[in-house]
Amino acid sequence: MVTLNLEPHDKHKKLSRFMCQELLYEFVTGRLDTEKQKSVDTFLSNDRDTQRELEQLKRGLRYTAQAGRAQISPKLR
Amino acid sequence: MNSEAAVVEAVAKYFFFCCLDEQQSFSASLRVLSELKSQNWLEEVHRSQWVKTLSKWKTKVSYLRPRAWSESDSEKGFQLSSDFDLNAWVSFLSSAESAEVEAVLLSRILAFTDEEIAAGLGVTAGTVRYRVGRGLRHLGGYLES
Repeated sequence: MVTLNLEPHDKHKKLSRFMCQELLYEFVTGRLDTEKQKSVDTFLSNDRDTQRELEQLKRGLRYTAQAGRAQISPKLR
Repeated sequence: MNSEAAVVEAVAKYFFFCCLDEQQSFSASLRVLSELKSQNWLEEVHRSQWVKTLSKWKTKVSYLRPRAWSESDSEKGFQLSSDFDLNAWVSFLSSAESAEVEAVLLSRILAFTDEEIAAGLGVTAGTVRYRVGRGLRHLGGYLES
């Protein structure tokens, strides 16, 4: 598993598609600072591929929320 | 929910979503709960130890392969809403990196915090979020819009 430093040296550097997609989870959960949030938002408005990735991520979030409501068997309690 | 009920629920759900087999998850859960009890780690304050212990035991049940899941199986024990598509999870389990599956499971299904997961797995919270984000995008690819 590769890990990634999501803190660019130059905060004003334009986001690449790859970097923007890696930031989507933090974007959607509101953990980015205002500047980065805005950069991702701007990138998203012009990039269909990243919009698609965002939709997939949101579907994943809805799905896991539903999975979290699973009830366990009474015999395990 | 008291601490003991919380740990039972977390452990049982973890193994259920790891192997999708009620018998196997029941058996693995008993072993993990026994270990947590012997270490006095049943209290909520030890949640990062729960993560560490679960992760350790997961490797011991990794020989299990997710099997095809039919509707009648869901009647047996773990109850999911009728519109829940378990096949998407099966596809995700079979194709995603295990670190991503584990991060999604711990963070989004079992609601451990990034810090609890990070401490339990010995990685940074940023790495946890990176894995969860990638995992969710991967999982979302198996779900219809």
